[in-house]
Amino acid sequence: MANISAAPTQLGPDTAELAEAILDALAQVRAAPVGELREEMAATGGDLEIDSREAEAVIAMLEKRYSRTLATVDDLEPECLLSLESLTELIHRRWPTGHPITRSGSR
Amino acid sequence: MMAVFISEKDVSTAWVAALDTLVASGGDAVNLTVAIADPTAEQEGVRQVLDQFIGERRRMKRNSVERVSTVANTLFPSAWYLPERLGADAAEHLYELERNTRPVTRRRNPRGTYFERMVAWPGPKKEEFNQLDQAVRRLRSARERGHQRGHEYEVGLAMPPDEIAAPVLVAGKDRNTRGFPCLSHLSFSLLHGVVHLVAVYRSHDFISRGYGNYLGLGRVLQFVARESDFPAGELTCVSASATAEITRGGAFGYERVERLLEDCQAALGATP
Repeated sequence: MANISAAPTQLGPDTAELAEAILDALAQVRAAPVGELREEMAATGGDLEIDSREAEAVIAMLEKRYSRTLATVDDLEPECLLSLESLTELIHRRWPTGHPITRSGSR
Repeated sequence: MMAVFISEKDVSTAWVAALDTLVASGGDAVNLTVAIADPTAEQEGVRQVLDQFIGERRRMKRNSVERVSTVANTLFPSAWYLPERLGADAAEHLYELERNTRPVTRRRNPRGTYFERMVAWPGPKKEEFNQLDQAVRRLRSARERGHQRGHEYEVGLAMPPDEIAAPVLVAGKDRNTRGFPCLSHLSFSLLHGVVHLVAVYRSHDFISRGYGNYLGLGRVLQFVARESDFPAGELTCVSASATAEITRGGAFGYERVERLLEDCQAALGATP
């Protein structure tokens, strides 16, 4: 499994960048090319069903990448982690895009 | 009620038979032993009935009971194991995801998961030991030497570096009288070239946990067998104390538990 690239600078990622990072992390969890996931998404109407443990792994990768906590205990209830779309919404909710990161990595 | 033995073909049939036995005996039993010939197989109708029951409970109170898939995932996160895609690297991918995801997983499971205990058993000096990997290596070695049986590896409550055994309960650390870990021990055996698994629970809530436990343990057995290139055999699960959760565990009440049992039996009967 390849490592995720280093943390970005002072501003949080925009929506598109975050969505890309989530898809990239899911591809690593599934050991699949990102393109394969995109094809699967296109074939299923734009979203992907995911397992809650896949979602946890994606969250862990993004937390490491961005050095911040992106999910609370309540966020990790399996009902919250059923699809790529719901996972993306969750992370967006915990991290409104464009907000600055402090030096410690958390707001 | 004293010791009971049930032997069935798949997870669903075995679980329904065990629940039936528990309900018939007033709700509780000791030394309930359930053998499942194919612990990766289910009857879809039974699973649907149980999922619906648990879904209703979770809508009323989310923390009251876990989903079947969640329970199974605490024993083996099957979404992380990709043998068809990764071949010989699949096990390392699984172990690496467990290590990297552990800080997130521990938010919902502060004391860790059963799978974590299997692959990162806390040693006396806080070093981690991968018991599943050890079991796989031992079995591979047996295969290379042409062994078809492995009683010589099987010694009860062994320390993990020495035997094909996977203790879950950590003496001196796990002092809770209820809750994690209810699963105390796993033991793999090789006979006639087939790998079998025995799991021992000190306490077993059959509606909240039993079905998902059987499924998860079946996946553990399948993983070890596949990685050691032996066929997977039977899962036997010994529950030192088992409850149908009429008044204990989830305390669902006699009428609701009996109705759940009847619905599951009907689903089994409807299976072609």
